[in-house]
Amino acid sequence: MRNIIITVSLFLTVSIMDAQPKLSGSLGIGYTSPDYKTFAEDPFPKLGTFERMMIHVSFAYQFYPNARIGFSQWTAFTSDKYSGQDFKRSFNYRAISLETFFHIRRRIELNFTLAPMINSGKISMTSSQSAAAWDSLMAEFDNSGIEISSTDEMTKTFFGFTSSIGFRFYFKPYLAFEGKIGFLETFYKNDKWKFQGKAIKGPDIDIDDMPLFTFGLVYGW
Amino acid sequence: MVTILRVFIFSFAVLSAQEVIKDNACNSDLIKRAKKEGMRSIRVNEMPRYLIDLWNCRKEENGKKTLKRINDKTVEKDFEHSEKFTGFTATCAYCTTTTVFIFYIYKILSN
Repeated sequence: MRNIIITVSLFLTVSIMDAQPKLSGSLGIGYTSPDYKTFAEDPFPKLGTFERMMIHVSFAYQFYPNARIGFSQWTAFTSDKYSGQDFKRSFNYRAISLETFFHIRRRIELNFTLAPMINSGKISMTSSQSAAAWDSLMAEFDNSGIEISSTDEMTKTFFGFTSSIGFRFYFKPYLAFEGKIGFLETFYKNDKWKFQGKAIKGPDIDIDDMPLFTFGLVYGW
Repeated sequence: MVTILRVFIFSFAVLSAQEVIKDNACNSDLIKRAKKEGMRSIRVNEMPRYLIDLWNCRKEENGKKTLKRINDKTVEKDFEHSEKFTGFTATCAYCTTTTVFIFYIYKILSN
């Protein structure tokens, strides 16, 4: 199996090296509107700025005169306090995209993207606590008042689908501004989160069908 | 032995004193090809050499004109290659347009 993967990787690398390259990378911002419902007694950290304005990164390879295949990722994250402890929450929306396009003008391109998604969610918290064994060890060295911190996280993987229509304006043949309008359709359920190897229930958040606006710069040749 | 050494040093001095006629970097094969077919005709393995040539070409007399010509040619070639949909790409575009359109119609109606 390993040999097959190595052979295929080598073949693809050599093919790309020998082919006329049409590789591009993009960096931008994606705007969406998730809804995080209240579900706990303590106030759940509110929607952060970077949970609406997601960081978007993508790479694509043009394999056909009018088509590209690539990888896109939108990262939504926030860092806050929950019950006085450091709290972090992030969602990564990852897509394997098929993008077809055509030029309506010399420097203006319209593109159409269809992409299945494998998304992941992560909630982590760092809490301070005391441990009797550590306390006695510290006391032996004449230390006192030292708090032990521990970090743990709960994770979730879920599938989805995204589709968008976009335009590109090429300043240069290798540099363009891109804007896209589309949607994110995810199959998120609040059960089957993982915490320390066990299946648990997670937050009840509404990220099933969200509009998605993405803007950014594309660089490539 | 000393004579041989003198002759060798003299010969080397004469040879190295010859004026080296430097080629214009804008006339390299890769730059010529890029001017003719656009920069996407350059392969990945040729890219380092092309970038070096391009860097050197900038400093030449007609360097900026050459770079502009390469850029214009590339834009023109891109336009020629993807002016119209070919093969399956139109189907993909129709599917995308339909799904996005239905999504927003549904959103507007549900609000």
